[in-house]
Amino acid sequence: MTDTIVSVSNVSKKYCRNLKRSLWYGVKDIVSDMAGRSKDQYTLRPQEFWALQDIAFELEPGQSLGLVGRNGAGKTTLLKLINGLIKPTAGKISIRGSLGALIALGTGFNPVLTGRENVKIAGSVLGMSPKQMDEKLDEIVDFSEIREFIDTPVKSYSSGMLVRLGFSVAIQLQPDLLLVDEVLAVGDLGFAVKCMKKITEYRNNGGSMILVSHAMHNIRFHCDKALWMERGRIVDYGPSHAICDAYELSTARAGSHDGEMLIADADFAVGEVDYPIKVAGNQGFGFEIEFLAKRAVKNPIIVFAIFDIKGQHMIWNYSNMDEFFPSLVPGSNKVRVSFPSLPLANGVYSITVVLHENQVGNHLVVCKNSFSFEVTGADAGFGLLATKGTWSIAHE
Amino acid sequence: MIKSAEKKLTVYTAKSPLMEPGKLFREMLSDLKASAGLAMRLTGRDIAAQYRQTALGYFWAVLPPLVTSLTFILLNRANVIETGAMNLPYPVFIIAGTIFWQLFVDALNAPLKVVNVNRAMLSKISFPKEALVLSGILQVLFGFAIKLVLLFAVIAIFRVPVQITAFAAFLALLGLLGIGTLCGVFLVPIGVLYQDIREGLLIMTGALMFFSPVVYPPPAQGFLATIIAYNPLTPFLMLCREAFFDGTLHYLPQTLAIMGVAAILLLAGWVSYRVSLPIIIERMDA
Repeated sequence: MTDTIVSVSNVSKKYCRNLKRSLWYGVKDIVSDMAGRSKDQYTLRPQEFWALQDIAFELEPGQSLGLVGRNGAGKTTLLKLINGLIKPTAGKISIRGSLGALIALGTGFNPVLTGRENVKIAGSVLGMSPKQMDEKLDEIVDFSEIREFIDTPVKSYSSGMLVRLGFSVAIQLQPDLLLVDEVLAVGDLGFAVKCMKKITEYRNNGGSMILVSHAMHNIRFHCDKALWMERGRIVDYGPSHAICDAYELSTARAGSHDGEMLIADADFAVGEVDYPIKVAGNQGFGFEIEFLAKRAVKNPIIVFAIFDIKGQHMIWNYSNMDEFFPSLVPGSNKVRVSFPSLPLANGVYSITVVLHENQVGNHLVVCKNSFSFEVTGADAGFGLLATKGTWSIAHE
Repeated sequence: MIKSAEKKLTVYTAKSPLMEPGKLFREMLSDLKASAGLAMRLTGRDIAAQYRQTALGYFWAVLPPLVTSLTFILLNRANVIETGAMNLPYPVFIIAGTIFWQLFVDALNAPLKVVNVNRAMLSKISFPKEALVLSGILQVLFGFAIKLVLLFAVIAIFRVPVQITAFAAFLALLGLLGIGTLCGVFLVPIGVLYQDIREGLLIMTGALMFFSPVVYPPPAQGFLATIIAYNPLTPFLMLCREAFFDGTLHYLPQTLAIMGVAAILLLAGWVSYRVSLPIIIERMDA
């Protein structure tokens, strides 16, 4: 046995589309389990489908894996299997060490009870002993930053407060493997940053993690490897930067609802491409987008926007405001936008491209927060912008 | 840092857990041990949550047996129910009967109820599932303790002497609790999948009460006498009353024999609960 912390080999899981039938299959499965007969299954019964098929990966201690894919790709099902909540239909999952989960924070909270009471129960559910709980209680309350409301029934809490409390309890455990499902996106900005710091701290202490997120910058930042899934199958598996880039491009390719327009390709006009894409600060910057159109678009308005890692708009340019009035013809249209100098501070950014027709709001293609890049070597002080100042002094 | 080889290895496959009975029983025992603290917390949560938003509080625990008893006391006064000659005042007889009976009914309903209440937790968090059933049992015992206060109050009012054999009644009560829990645990898999079970359970227990010596002593002959004689709950209810008030233990051997069988079945029920939960959880949240 190697010293992998989690090993998933050829795991498949089937579900049934029809509720009544699913219940009946449930009864049958229980009976066959009780008779000690169940084993790996590779055939589908009527109305069943594969929610996961032949999923395989391994993770070594200290490594982190990102799960990416559209809704319904099977990411949450995979987490549930690893968490031991449901059984695989075929295959094997082995986990060495303890497991923790930051999933559905605040589940099991009772609205009538106070925050303090709910924290104690939640800790107990996650396996903390009363003694551990007493030791950690102050730390939990402090981390959640809601000390003044801790003796109030949680029904008067906002959803953000519930998540704060749930996260604060769950992160106290120091498991060998942590499962995280989209929780980084919730709560206010300040708290989200604090949670990320805590997770980074956990990873620096040698913790492993499996992270499900639609925010590619989180996957890039926190994960060594990524697994891209679609319809229950692995599309690609490898270093997180490469997988995220490939995934982003594919979402961009998804194109418009009617299928008449799509973004076929997009790339940084920076010459040599290496992951992560690095852009030198305060330099010229170019980006090329290839639109594949099935019909002509006479008055396109193209948006090119850059967001920072916290989701702040750094730039948001409309083609018409830049006095660019193209028309798109059926077939390939390569649009290039360039900036003489992009005064961004060092950090990670993402690009959003939107194509509107005739007027803003009538969008044909939205390609949100895709194409990440990193700005390095911006030689400046603190702040969102890094731009060289020219200083002078005058003496009377 | 602990060496990876020393860390616990958890494996999930499609195989039935019964294929490795040794491993299954080791896990059952370790989960049971891990459940105790959590069961206490969950019990505290549910009791606090249940009574915190009420004006009458714990009085709600005694209200159902009290109402049932009063109904039958009135019917008895109106001579609708013929109980024959009894060596106990009818109110004491019936309040004792309904409270003992309610222990069985509560235990029967508890496993399904507690699993349903914790659906969200079951489908999202990994924790020792035995804690739910334990918490159900603790909540039943809590309700029973409150009802015992009512029973002793009625005993005091009617000045009925309690016999030294009353200690044996606790064995019978344990039996009622155990058999109720056993049936309840067996109903969990099917009861969570199909709502029909919960609906049916209510009607069934209502009817079952009349085929048990709860509101009247068992008749000496006739169709009802036969049913009551074969009802496995009869010895428990009879032993409770005779041990409390008559000082006799005629039903003790029967009670012990049934409890022996029930203990084995309880183990089977526990296995079925564990084996079926992953399959149920998969179908729990839409």
